[in-house]
Amino acid sequence: MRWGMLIDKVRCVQCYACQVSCKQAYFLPPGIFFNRVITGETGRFPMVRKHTYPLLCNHCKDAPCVDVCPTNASYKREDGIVLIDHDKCVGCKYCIMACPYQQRTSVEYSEQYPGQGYNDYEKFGMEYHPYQEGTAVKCNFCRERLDEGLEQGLVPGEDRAATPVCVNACPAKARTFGDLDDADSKVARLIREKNAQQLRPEFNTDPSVYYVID
Amino acid sequence: MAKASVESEKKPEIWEDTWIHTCCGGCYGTCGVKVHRVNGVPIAIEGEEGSTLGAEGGLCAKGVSQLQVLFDPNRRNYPMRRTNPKKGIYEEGNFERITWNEAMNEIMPRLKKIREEDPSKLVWMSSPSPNAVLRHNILMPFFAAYGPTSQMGGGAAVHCGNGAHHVTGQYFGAWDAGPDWKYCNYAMFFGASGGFGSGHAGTMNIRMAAEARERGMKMVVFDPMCNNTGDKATEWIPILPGTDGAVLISMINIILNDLDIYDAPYIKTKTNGPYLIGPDLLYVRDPETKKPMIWDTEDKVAKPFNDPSIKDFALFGDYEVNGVKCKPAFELIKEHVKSYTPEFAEEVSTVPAKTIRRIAKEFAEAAQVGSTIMIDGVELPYRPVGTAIFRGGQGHTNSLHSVYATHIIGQILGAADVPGATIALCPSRCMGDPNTGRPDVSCFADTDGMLVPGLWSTLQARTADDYVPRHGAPKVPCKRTGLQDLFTQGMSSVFHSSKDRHELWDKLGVIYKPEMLLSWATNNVHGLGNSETVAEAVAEIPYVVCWELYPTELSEGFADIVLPGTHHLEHTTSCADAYDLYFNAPIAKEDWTIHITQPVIEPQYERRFIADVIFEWAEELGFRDEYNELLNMRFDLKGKYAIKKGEKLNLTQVSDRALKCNHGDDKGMDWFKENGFIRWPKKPDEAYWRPFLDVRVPIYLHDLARWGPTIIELAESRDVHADWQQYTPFVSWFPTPVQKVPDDEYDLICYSYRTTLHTGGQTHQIPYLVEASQMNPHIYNIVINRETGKAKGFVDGDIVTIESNYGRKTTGPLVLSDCVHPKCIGIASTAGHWVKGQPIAYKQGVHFNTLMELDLEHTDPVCLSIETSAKVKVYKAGGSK
Repeated sequence: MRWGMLIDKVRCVQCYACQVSCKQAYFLPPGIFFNRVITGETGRFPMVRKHTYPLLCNHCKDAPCVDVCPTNASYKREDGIVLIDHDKCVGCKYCIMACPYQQRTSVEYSEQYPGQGYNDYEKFGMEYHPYQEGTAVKCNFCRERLDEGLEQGLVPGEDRAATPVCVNACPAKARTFGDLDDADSKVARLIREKNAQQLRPEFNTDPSVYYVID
Repeated sequence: MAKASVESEKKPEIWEDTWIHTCCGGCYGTCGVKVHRVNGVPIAIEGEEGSTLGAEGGLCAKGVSQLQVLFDPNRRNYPMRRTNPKKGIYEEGNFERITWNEAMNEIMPRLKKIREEDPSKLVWMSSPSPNAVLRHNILMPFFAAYGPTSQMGGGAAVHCGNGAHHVTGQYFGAWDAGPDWKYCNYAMFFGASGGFGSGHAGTMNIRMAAEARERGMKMVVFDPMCNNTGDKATEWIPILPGTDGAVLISMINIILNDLDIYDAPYIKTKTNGPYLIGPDLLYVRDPETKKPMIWDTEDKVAKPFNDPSIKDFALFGDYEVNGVKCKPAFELIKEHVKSYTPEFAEEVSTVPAKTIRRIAKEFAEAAQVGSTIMIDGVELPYRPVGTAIFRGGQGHTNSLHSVYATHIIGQILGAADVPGATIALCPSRCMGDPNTGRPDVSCFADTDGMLVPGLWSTLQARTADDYVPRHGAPKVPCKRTGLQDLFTQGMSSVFHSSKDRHELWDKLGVIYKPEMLLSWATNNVHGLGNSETVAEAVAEIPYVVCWELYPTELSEGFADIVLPGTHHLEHTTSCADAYDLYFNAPIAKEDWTIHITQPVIEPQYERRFIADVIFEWAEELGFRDEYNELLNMRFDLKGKYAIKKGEKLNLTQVSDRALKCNHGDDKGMDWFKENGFIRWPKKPDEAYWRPFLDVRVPIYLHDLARWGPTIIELAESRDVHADWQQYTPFVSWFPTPVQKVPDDEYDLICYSYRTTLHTGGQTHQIPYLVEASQMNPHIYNIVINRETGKAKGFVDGDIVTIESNYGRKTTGPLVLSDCVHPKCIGIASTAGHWVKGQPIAYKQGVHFNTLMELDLEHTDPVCLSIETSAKVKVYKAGGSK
C-alpha cells in the first residue's frame, strides 16, 4: 500500500481550487499553504506556454525531511504518508531546509484581516484544528479523512469522504488519488497510460506525486 | 491556544455536523454547492456531487472562498446614513448607524413621491453577479410595476454581453453559445474564457472542457494574451483587440469562395439565406401574406418561405418577383465577403494570412458537412466544430458584427445546436420534468420565420406575432436615458453615465430629472469606465441608496444611505436561481438539474435580503397585486399555484409554489432543502433541437437593413452622428476608435482580461483570492510583451504609468512576458480599489477602467457595447517594486 496522487496538467486550468480548498479545510493562516499553484512561462513569443504546477508535499519514499529530523517528529507511515508529530517537533526548521521541493513551512498565526482580530471562522479553526506555532507543517494527504474513511469501508480516491480535499475540489478533475502499489488502481493505470512523471527525479527522493506534463 | 499535536489532538465537542445544499454566487455561474456546517459555523464549501450544474463535486477557488465573505469584519452590518456632506470619487461617507425604520422613513416617502410625480426620477441599477436571476426575477418586475424608471448600470452587458447575447439570442435562442464539448473536435475561441475562467455554468464548462482536451479536441484561441484559455489551447494565435471580425469574415470568405464548402440544405431551411433580397436590401414579400419570398428552383416560381409546396430553394441566381429584381441573400453574402481577403485581415489583426487560410480550411473540413451521428437512438446531423466569443472579443465598438461573424461561420456549415457544434449555452429548449412536462420552453418562429427565444423569464409573453425589436420601433424623442428607444438593438446602454449624455439627451429629447438612485450590488464608479465620467453622472442624482455587502467606491463617495445586504450564503430560501435556465443550466446532453438557494447561516447583525424588502415595498407602494402578476409570469405560476390577488407571500413561499408547479406537489421547498436538487435526463431533441424546430436565423442581417434607415434618419435629424455604416445587413468589420489612433506617440493597445480568481471588482476583498493573486506573476501587475518592454528600457518591477490618447492614466508595477502580443499591454480584472473600507482589496492590482472612454464615439452604434480597449503610451512612473 502506497498512497499517491496524479496531477494532470493538461486538464488543470489554474483555477486555484486545490490551493484554496485545502487552506479552508485546514484553517491555514495567511501565507501558509499545503497546496500551492505556481505559474511561470516557458518559450518565446508566440511559441510560449505557461508553466503551471499545483504543488504539494510529494510524500517521498526516501524523504530527506524524515532523515534530517533530530527528534523523529517527521516520520513515514507504512502506507507512504509522511507525517509530523507536532508534540515532538521543536521547530528547528532543518526539515524545511532539507526538503528539495520546498513544501514545508513553519506555521505562525496571523489575522486574515490584519488589525481586525480573528473572526468566528478563524477562532473555530484554532479550536477545531489548532497548530503549534513554530512547528513545521505540510500536506498530510488528508490523513484523517483517509483513516476514518478506511474504517468505514470507504475507498480513498473513489469515495469523496475518504479522498483528499484537493482531489475533490478540482473542477477539471485533474487529480487522481489512490494506491500506487495496486497496478489496477485508477491512479496507477493513469500514470502508466499518460506517461506521468515525477518532478525533479534527480533529487532521488522517489515522490508519490506524479504529473502529466503534456 | 490549544497545544495538542495534529496526531493526538482532542477535538472540541461536536453538537452539529451537517451539510446544506445551496448555490454558489461567487460569479454568475450559480454552480450547485453544499456547505459543511459544524456547531453553527460554516467551515467548508464543496461542489454538489451528483449534480450536472457544476463539476460533479469540484468548485473553483472563487466558490470555495465565499465563506470568507460571511466572516469579513468589513461587511456592512447595519443601515447607515452619510454624515460627510461632501461627495466625490475619493470622499468617504463617515456613515453613522441608523435603524431600518429610520432608513425606511427616509427612503419610502421618496419612493412614493417619485412614483406619484414621475417614476423616471427613480434611477436603479443592479449587477448579474452575485446572482443574475434575483435581478431578473425579483428586481426587474418590481421596477416594471413601479413605473417607467430610469436605469444606470455597471460594467455588465455593456462590457461583456450586448453583442454576445443579442446574437446568440437570435441564433441559438440562448443567452450565450459555446462548443458542444463532448463531441466537438475543433473549437475556435475569440476573447472568451468559458471553460477556463468563469462565466455561465462556470465549473460545468471547466469539467467538460477538460474532458474535451483529454479526448483530443483541437482548440484554437485568438487572444492578445496567452491567458487561461490560450494556455490550454492547441494553438494560441495572438491578435490585436477588436480585429476578430476581420479574421472571421476572411475565413468565411475562404470557406465559401475558395473551398466552396457550405451546408446547402441547412442554409436553405434553417437560415434566411434563400430569402430574396431586393434593391432596397429588404426581403421581397408576398403581397398577400407579407411573407418573405424564396425561389423554388423546381417549380421555377417565387413562393412564400413557408409554403408547403416548396420543392427546393435557390441560393443563387437573378430573379424578378412582382417586378422587383432580386437575389437570394446567400449569394449576396458570398459575394460580399470576397473583399475580406486574408491579406486584409492580416493587415488589421497581425494574424498571418497563411495562418488564416490554414485555420479556415481545417475548420471547414473538420465540420464534416453532411455527416450524421446516433445519439440515444436518434440520428442527428454531426458537425464537430464550434466557436465562442465573449467579453474580450465582443467588447468593442464593432461588437455586434464581430459576434455575428463568430456564429455565421458555424451557421454556413450547419454547425449549430447539433452534436459537436456550437450549441446554446445555456439550453434553449426544455421539454420538462417527465413527471409534469414543466418547465416547457422552446424557441419559436416569428412571422418571418426567424427564431425567437422562448424564455419564460420575460416581462411580456412571447408570441409569434410580428416581432419588433426589444424596445419597440425606433422613435424620438427618447424617454430612456440609455436611448434604447432610438437605438433599439441595444440591450444595455452607457448613455446614462457617458461624457456626452447631456448633449445626446438634449438633442434626443430626454427629460431627465433624477431624484434618487437605488443601487444593488453595483459599483459603477469603480467598474463601469473611467471614474471621473461616471462620478459626474452619479453626482447629478441628489439622493443615493446603496444596498451592498461591503463599502464601495460608489457608496463611500456618493451614498446617502447604505443598506446591509445578505450574501448568497445568507439568503432566504429561493428558487429564483433555478428558473432562469437561460443563464445557468446544464448544457448539451448533460442531465437537467434544478437547484435552490438556502441560507447556511442566518443573516448576522441587521443584514436583510433584498427580496424580502422588495416584497414589503411593493405592498407599501400599493402595487403588490401587479407585482404578483409579474411574478406569476416570471415563475410561470399557473392554476392553483398562481399568486392570487391580495396574497402576500414571501419569496420562500413563491419558490415553493414554483417548484411544486414544475415538479409536483411532493417536491416543494422542503423537499429541495433536504435533497438539494432534482435531476432528470435530457432528451436528444432538447439538447440538439435544431433539426426538430422550424426556425431560421438571420445570416443576412435583415433587422439592420430594416431598422437602420429609420434610426439613422431620426438620429441625423437631431444632429446625432455615429458610425452608421454598421447598419448594414452584410456582416462586416469596422475599425474601432483605438485602431484609428496613429502609432507614433500612443503605440500600444491596453486591454483588460479575466482571471479565474476574480469576478469583476467584487472578489478582491477575499483574502484567499488575493493571496493567490499575489503569487501569480500577472494578476496584480501590468503585463507587457518581453521584447517590447526591453526595447522601451523596462525591467520587471518597474512602476509605470499607462496613459491613453485622451490623457487618462493608471499606474502600477510592470512585468515582462512572452504571453502578450507585442503591440499590447494587459491589466487583469477590475482591480485597483481605492476604497479603504475594503482593506484587503485596497490598492491591490491596477485599475484598468480608468482608461475607458464613455461616449457615443466609443460605443457600438447598433448594440451599444462599449470599447474596452484603449490606445496608450507607457512610461516609468519612478521607483521600482
